[in-house]
Amino acid sequence: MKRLLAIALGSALLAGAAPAAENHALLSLFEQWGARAMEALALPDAPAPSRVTMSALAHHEILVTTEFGAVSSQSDRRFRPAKVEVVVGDDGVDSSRWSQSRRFGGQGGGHNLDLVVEDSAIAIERDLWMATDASYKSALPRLQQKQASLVARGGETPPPDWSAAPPLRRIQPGTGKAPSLDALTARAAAASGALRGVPGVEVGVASARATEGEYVLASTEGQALVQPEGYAVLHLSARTTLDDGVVLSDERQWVARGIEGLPAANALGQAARSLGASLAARAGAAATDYYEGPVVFEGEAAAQLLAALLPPQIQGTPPEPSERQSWKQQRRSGPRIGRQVLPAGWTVVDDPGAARASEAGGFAVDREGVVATAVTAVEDGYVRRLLMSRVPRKEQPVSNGHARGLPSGHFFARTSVWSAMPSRLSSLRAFERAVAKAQKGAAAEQVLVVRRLALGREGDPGAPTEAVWRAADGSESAARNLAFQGLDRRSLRDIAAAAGTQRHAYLAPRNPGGSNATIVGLPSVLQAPERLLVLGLELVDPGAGGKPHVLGPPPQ
Amino acid sequence: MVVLSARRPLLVLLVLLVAGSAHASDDPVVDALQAEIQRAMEALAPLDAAPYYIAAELVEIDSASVRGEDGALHGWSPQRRRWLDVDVRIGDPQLDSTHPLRKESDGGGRYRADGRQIPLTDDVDLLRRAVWLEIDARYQVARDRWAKVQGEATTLVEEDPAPDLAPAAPRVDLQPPRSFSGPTEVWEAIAREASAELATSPSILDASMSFAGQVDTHWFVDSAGTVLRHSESRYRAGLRAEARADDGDQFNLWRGWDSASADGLPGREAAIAAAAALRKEVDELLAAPLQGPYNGPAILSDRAAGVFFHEVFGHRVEGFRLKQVGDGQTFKDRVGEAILPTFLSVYDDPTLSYRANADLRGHYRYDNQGVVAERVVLVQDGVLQGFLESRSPTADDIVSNGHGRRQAGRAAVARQGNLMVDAAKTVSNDELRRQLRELLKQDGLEYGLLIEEIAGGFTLTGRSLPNAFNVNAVVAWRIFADGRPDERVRGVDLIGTPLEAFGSIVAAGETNEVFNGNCGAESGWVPVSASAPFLLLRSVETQRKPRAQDTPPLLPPPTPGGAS
Repeated sequence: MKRLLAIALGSALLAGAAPAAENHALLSLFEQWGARAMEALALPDAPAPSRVTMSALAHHEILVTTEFGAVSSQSDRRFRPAKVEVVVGDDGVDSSRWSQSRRFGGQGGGHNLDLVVEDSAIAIERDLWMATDASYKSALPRLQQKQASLVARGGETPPPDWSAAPPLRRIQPGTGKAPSLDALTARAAAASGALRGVPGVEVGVASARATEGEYVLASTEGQALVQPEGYAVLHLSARTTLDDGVVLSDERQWVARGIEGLPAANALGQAARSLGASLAARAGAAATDYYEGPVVFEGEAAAQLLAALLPPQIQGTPPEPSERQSWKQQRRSGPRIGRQVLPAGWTVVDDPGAARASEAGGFAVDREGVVATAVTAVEDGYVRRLLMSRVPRKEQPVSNGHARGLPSGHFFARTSVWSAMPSRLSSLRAFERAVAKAQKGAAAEQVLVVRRLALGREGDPGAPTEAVWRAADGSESAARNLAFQGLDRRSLRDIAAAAGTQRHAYLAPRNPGGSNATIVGLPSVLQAPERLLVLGLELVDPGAGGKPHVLGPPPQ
Repeated sequence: MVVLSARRPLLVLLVLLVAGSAHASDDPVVDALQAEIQRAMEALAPLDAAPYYIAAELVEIDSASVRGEDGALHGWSPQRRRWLDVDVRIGDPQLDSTHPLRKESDGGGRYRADGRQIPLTDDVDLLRRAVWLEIDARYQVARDRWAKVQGEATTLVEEDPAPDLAPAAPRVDLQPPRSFSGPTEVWEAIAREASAELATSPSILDASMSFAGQVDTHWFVDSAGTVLRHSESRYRAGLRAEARADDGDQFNLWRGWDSASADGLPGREAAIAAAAALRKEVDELLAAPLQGPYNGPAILSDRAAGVFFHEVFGHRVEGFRLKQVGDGQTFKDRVGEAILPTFLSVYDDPTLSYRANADLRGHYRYDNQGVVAERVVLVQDGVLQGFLESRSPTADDIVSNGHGRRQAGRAAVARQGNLMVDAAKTVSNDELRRQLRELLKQDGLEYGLLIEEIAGGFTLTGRSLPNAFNVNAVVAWRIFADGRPDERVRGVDLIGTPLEAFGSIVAAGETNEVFNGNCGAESGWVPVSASAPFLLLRSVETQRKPRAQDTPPLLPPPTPGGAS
C-alpha cells in the first residue's frame, strides 16, 4: 500500500479527455485514501482497519417518460454514487456484514455518498476523508456487537465473512460519451404514441433510461479496476379499466447495451400497437374463474418464467448474519447444492463474458474485483455449484466473479449472461404433440398459452398479461385476467417439453428477491427455449383490482 | 365576528361580469380543464351523489439547480414537469365531502389530493384524457368520503356552523406565463469558487454553495367560472457549512439569498465575501461555550423575531386548525381580545413582494383555490381581529381571504404567506439592550440572551401533547449585565408555550429583518416569509439542543496540492 502514497495530486480540475490508463484521477484518489485509512485510522484499544474498499459508478444518465407520445418528464445528469467501506476484524468474522439495526448506517457498514462530478482532487479527497472516518467509526461497534451475538448463540458458526482474491489491476476507462436524450425520447414517444387511439387504452406510458460510464474500484487488498459499463432500457405499459372494475394492464421491456441497440422507433410503434390490440382483446374476453392443467409458455414468457424462478436456486451469496435469526433459520430458504430444480437433461450456465456486443449485462471483472468465470450451475437438472461473490459458503469458499449490484447497496452473486437449456430441444411438431397429449391427459378442452408475464419478483413470476386459450383445432381466444396459484421453483421440474431458442434481455431486480425493475436494475441476458410446456399449473381469476369509471372518457 | 374579505354582494356582481367569458381560450390547458370540468358536471349531475363543485389546478414547474461542494460541482439538474390536482365536492357548500371526519378513519385523505403528472404538451385531447382520469378518481374518493361525512353528521354532536366551501367571486385572469431563466454557467463558476473558499477552513467538514431557480405557472379552473393563469418565480442561493466541535456538537450554518429574479442572487464577489464571513463565524462558533438551560430575559433580533412569530403565533391563526376537534384552538374564542402588547400589530399580506431590502418568498397573487390573495389584519394594537382563511372558513359569515395554500399533491388549507409584525412604539436597538440589562439587574442574573439566527423549529398545536414550541437557534450571544462584551454561545433551543411567550414581550426595536423559508404542515411545503422588529422578552426558557456524539475526524483534513 505504501506505493500509493507516492501518487501526488493537485487540487486543480482534472476533468477533460478520458484519462490515460495509469492516471485515472478517481482511482488514484481511491488508492491514496485507502492506503491512508489503513495506515492512519486508529483509536486507542481498538483494532486497526483490516481492509478498505472504495467503489463508484461514474456515469451520465438520461431519463425520459412519455405518455401517448407526449413528454411528461426528462432529465439529463451526471452523477457518481459511491461507497467507502472500512472493515475491521479478520476474514472469519469482520465488521462488514451484520444485520442488527439501521443504527450503524445500513448497507453492511459501508458509507454511501454522492461524489462531486468533476475530478477536483481536493473536493473528492474531502469526501473520502469524511467517509473513511465515518465508516471506521461505525465498523468498530458493529464488530463488537457481532462477536458478542455470535458467542451468545452458543457455538453456531456461520461461514466466514470474506474470502481472499488475487490482486488485479485492470484499467479500461469508459468512453466518456453522453447518451443522446433526443434519440431516447424519440423511441419512447414512438412507443407510447402508438397506443394513442387504441380503443380502451386509458394509460399508455413509455419510460426509458440510458446510462454510460465506468465502474471504479480500489481495494487495499490489491484490486484496482476501471471498467466501462452502461445500458439502455425502454419500458412500455398500457392500462384499461373494465366495466366490472377489473384493471387490465400489460407491459414490455427492451434492454440493450446502448440506445442504438434498442428497437427503432417504427418497430417500437409496431410492438406497442400489438400490445394495445392484445389488451383490447383481453378486455373483450370472457372471464375464467379457475384453470388447472398444462400451460404453454411462448416467446418472452418462457424466458420470464425461468428468469424469475431459477436465479434464487443458483445465487450463492449467503445472507448476512443476524441478531434476530439463527444462521440455520436464515439459510433454510436458500439454494442447495444437489437440489433438483429442472428436469433431467437441463443445464444452466452463467458466463458474464458471453454477452454479445449489443447486449448489456456482461463484464470481465465483477463488482468486487474478481475476474468473472463461466459457471455451470445446473447439470442434468441438479444444482452442482453456485454463483459466488467474495462472501463464501462452506461448500464454495472462494468467489467465481459474479458479484453484482449498485454501488449504493450490497453486492451479491447474481446471474448476468446465462443460459438455461435442455440437452435436447423438441421440434415444433413434437412440441405440439406433447401439448396435445398433455391436454388430453388433463381432460382440458383448451390449453392456456401464455406469451408475456407482468414484471413480478425474483422467485415469484408475475401474472400472465398476454395469454390465449388454444383449442384442439388450433383456434385461439384471449384469456382475460388470470393469476398463478402456487407457482414456485418446483413447477420447473414439471417442464414436459421445450422447443426453439431465444435470447431474452431484461433487467433483474437490484437486490435478490426484489421486484423486477422497470428501468433501474441489473441488465441481464438469458438464453432459453422459445417454448415450454409445464404440466399441472393452477390459475385463478384474482378479481377486480379497482373500481369502474363513473365518467366515461372524453371524445377524441 | 369581523368579516375580513370580499362580501357576498360583491360576489354576485363579479359572477355577472364573468358569466359571458366562458369560451374557448388560446390556451390549450385552459381549454382542456374547462371542457372536462363542464363535461363531468353535466354527466354526473343525474347521480344521487352528484358533485356540486369541481376545481382543477395544474402547475407547471420549470426549475434548475446547481450545487458546488468543496470547489467542484455536484451536478446540474434542469427540470420541467406538470402536476394536476382536482377537487371534487359532493353535498352542498355547508356540508360536503371534504368535511373533517371525527371518528371514521380518513386514511390521511383529508389533506391528500394525490393528483397526477401531466404531459408537457399543448395537445388538448391528450390533456383532456389526463384530466378525465383524475376527475373520475377524485369523484370516487369524494363519493366514499361523502357517505362517511353523512353518517357522522347523523350520529355525532353538532359542530360549530362553518361552511365547507365559502363563496368566492369567480374571476378570469390570464397572465402571460413565464419560464425559468438563470445564468447557469455563471452560477456554476460561483458555486465552485465560493464553496472552495469555505472549504479552506480546516474546521469545516462539508462546504457547499447552491443556486436554484423555479418558476411555477399555475392554471386554475373551476365549475363556478374562475379561470386563472399566473406565474410565480423564486430564486435562491445559499452557502452551507457543516462543522463539529470537540464536544461532539455538530451544526450547520447557512447564509441565504432569496429573490424573485435571477438578478437578485449574489455575484462572485458577494458570494466569496459571504463565504469568508461564514468561515470566520464557524470558527467563532466552534470556540464558543455550550449554553445550558436558561430562564430569563432575551432579545430576539434579526430573522429570529420573524421566525418566532411564524412558529408561535402564525400557525395558531391558520383557520383550518380551528375547525379540528383535536386542535388546541388557542385563539378560537378570543377575537376582540388583547393577546399581544398594545404596541404590536400583525398582518399577513401575500400581495407584498418586497420589504426591508428583501424580496419576499411568501408573495403570491392567487392562492391554490383560485382566490385573490388579500392583506389580512390578524392583530391590531394587540387585539386579535381574525384568522387566515381558505374557502373552508372558521365561521358561517366568513369567506376566504386568499390563504388556501398547498404543495402539489395535497389539499389546500389556510396557511401563512408573508407574516408581518409592526410595532407602533419602538426603541433603538441600544435602548433594547439597556432595558435588557435593567431586567438582568432586577432578576440578579449575570447575563441574558440575544438570539440572532434561527435554523427552524416546530410548534405543537394539538390537545394531546403540550401546546408548545421549540425554535432552534444557531446564532446566539450572552449579553452581560455588567457591560462586558457579548459572548457567542452554542446549542440553544428556545422553548415555551404561546400565551406565556406573548405575554412576555415588553419592547420592540426599530429594525425589521426578513426571514425567507419554506414551511411544512398539513398541506405540504409552501414558501413563506416572516418579518418582525427586534423584540425584548421579559422571560424565555431555553433547553440544551440534541447533540451528536461523534468525535472529530481522526485524520487532519486534506489540503490543496495533495500534501495530505
